[in-house]
Amino acid sequence: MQCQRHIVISILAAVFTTTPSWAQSTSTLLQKGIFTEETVGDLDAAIKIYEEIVADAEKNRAYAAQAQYRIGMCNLKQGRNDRAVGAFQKLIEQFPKQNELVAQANARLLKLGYAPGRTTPAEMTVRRVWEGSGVDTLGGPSLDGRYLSFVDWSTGDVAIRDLATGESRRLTNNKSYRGEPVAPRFSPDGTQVAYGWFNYEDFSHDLRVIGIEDSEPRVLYANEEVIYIIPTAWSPDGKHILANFQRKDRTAQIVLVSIADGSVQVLKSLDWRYPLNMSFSPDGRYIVYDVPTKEDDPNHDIFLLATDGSREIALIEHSASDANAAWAPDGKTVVFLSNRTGSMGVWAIQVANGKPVGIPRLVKQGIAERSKLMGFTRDGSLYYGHNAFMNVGEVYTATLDIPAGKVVVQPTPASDRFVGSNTASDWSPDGQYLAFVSKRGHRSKVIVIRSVETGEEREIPLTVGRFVTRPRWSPDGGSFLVEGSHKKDEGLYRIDAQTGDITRIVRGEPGTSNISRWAWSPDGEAIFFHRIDRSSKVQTIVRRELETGKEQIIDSSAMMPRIRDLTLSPDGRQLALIRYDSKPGMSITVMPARGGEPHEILRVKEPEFIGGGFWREGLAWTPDGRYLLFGKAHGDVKGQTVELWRVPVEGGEPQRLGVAMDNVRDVRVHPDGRRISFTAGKIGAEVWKMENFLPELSAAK
Amino acid sequence: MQQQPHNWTAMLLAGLVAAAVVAVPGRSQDAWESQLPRIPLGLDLYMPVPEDNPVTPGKVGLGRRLFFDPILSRDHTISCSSCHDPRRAFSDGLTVAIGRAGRRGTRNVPSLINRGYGSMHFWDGRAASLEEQVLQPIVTENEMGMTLEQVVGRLSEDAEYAKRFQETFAREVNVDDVAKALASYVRTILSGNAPIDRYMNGQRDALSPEARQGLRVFRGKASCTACHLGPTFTDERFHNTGVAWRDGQLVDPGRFAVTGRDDDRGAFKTPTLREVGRTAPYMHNGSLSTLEDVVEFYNRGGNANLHLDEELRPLNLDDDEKKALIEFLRSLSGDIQEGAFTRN
Repeated sequence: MQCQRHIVISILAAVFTTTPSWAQSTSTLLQKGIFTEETVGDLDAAIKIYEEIVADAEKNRAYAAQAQYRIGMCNLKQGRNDRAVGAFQKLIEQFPKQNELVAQANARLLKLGYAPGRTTPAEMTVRRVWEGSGVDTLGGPSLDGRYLSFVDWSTGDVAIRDLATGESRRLTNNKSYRGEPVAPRFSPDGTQVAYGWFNYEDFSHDLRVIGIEDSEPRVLYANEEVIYIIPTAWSPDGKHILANFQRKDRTAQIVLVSIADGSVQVLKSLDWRYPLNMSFSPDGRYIVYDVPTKEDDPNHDIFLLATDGSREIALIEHSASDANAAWAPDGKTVVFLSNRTGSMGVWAIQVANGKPVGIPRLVKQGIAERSKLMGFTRDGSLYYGHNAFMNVGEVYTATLDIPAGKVVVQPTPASDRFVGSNTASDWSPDGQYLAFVSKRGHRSKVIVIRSVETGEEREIPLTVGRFVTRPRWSPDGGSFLVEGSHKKDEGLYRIDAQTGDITRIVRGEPGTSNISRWAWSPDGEAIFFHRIDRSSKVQTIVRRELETGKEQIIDSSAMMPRIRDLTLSPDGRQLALIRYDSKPGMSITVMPARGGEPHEILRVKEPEFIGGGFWREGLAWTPDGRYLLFGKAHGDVKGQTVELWRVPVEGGEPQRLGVAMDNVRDVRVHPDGRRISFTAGKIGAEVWKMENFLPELSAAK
Repeated sequence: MQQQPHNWTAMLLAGLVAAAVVAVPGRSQDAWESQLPRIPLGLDLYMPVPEDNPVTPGKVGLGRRLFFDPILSRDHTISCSSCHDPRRAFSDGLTVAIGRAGRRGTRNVPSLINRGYGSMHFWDGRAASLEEQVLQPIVTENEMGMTLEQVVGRLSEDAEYAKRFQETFAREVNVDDVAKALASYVRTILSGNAPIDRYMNGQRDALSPEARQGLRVFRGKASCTACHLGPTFTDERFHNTGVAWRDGQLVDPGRFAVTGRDDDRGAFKTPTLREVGRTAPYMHNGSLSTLEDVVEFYNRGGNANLHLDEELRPLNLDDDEKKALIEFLRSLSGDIQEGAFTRN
């Protein structure tokens, strides 16, 4: 009998596993899912099958609802209660006519301590209100819902957009792009906008206010001890701005800045962790903010702090990431973003007398991973933005005939895993591996090392915190150099390619110097990097011997020109740079690696730009040292299509290489001189509006 | 133990001020209940206070009286203020604590300033709250040498105390309320408005040029901010700097005695640097007499041992940098206040 059962299972398993999924009917797929769940016992595999059915729900809604219910049950069996709750709530929201399953889901929710029934009001609407070129999500709506403040990145100005007409106008006049605004926020009466200002000239930050009608900005607060200022909200009486300060010792502070005289009251000091968003209660008595719960833990929790400093409580404590809290104008509801069900959603919790009432409820599931809440309007409409500028795209490989300027093998994604999450690649010195950074869930990353020959991949978890960018393989292949932050420090770190062990190589002095753009010397005994010293307002290119720590200044200059990329020739004799300088346009410049006069080999003028992506980077030597590869874009600052070019180092006309994709950047050439890797993908932003989900305000409307 | 001959003056002054704080005419207890300690420039408005022990003038006044009263020591010879002397930024100037009858402790008396912002107390962090901390010296044999029963008995027999506890907590004297009153008082011992605070607040001439250079060394070459950060200049964490390393062994287990974790061997809590110019001698054992000694100690990278904190390394400071650093450290002394409320 036992034997017969095994045979049946084997046959069924063979049937289910050999039929291609595209050819299977929904009912077959569902049976396969149930078999995988109940007989094989592989719950994660079963969930994947059920998700496939739900994704194609229009084929058969009854089966899709069953699959959705089973997703909840699979999660429940694995103790992932939050994901189960999300699954049951999704069933209730998306399949309201499947009465029996909805009743079962409601019963499950009740058992799990969640309110049964639809969590989303039927009249709730969600719609995209701004997309396309020029969209920015750093600002927020005016309380009357008429305008949206934003940063116009084409000029670096504070601007407002009329949400009814779609017309935009600039409030500031940023001549020659000498700085950039940060987080413009409307005053409660809608007549002023507060914003942080980052001055490129001396790398200083200040807090400014400008009226929306023909006004000059007023510097409200400037202090060289504060190196970063993010205004997040005005107090409801319009007398203070709630801001996040970062000080020179890298600690963050939650502060109130007086509109009248710029005086500052520090509400709370944090360590090197900082909030993503902060928001006032409508009565001005409390603020809510989020902060990572532990060092190097990407997950945030949400706290409620009295503005008179009398008390603080944890409003949301959960193992998932709960962040971006915003207080609704009804005074009773705090909404926030959470990935507790496995995907990002908008959640809400009721608050009374500075304390939570009940449990969080899901308002909307499945919003984009990089979303942020931008704020409420008085009628309870919530604006949120989806922003994809950095660390987005995919790593591609292609084969070129570089001297001839031809594509031999068209670009294809380097990996079939976590497509859309892979960026910043580098070939190993022996050419056998391709390494790249891959995002894993909310704010955590790994370095993937992929065998060029077999496609086999292994991963190194990254415990270096924010800003892990551009891993550069050491000449001996044993480690990577990355830029990152670790606890309170930031700088350049070496990551062992086998063990993942981290060693700090160069420390950026907190609040004083920034280190970016680096390269190994060919013998692996030194590194080159670009350092900006805020206190002396000088930028340098430095060669540092790793064993002794001895540094040699290769080049030193005032803040201009700004260096966007730096790369060392294969023989270690020349440095190539992408630079903005005082002349119009951008240049590619080559200079001796031991110091000497720079030599410009290419200049492009607007509307053309060198480099792709947010940072306009991407410059690579060919292994023979004859050519430099670079991307060239035509269009506004965030222009999308970037063409790959080569320019002879010894002089001559640049030539197209036949690769043109969205935001080509991080170009790396294989040691064979034919294969290349690069990151490409769309960058951009969208603004969405969610209406009619706060019952009382909806009724009032 | 060494007697503190001037404590009576301090007690008298403290008593008078306490009376002024508590008995302002025309203000009911309810009105006081809504008040908060006054926060000097440089400190956070928010101070973490247990939900069940909000700071009130009534509790602060009672705690203050207890703090200066030798009634809490077995032989009526010392009070909390004997070791935590307001004139020495609530420390005592001695190498290690001296308790009742000249009994010698093993560790230096830490200053009590700004402890309301602390998350763990004592050099080894064995107390998780001020309410827990304030009782331990009272019952430690080498310090005040009482039992908690004796404390409650004595205070209950004292008519004035019995009345004050009744007024403040609406019940008879008990250990929890003794702890709450003392902790509330300690929360009002604050130091701020120092030259560094005025400088940070934008008054650029609040620090001398030498102190400004010292600040650069503090944050840069010496990397003191690795542990001494934020408004209280401490990370409230535990580090092995090698001070406890003598003759090839750790003579004090430090935090290890609390956690049992190997990494915590010889680790002690980072002390605040506020008022550091007034709280010599230094380190958990008071082994360094001057700020010059402390800077020299860190300049050589602490004392090497198996568990030395990774932040410790030779600093290679030159003489000018050391002088500047010390000048900066002296700028961390400001106005010390205790018992002050927002509406005083």
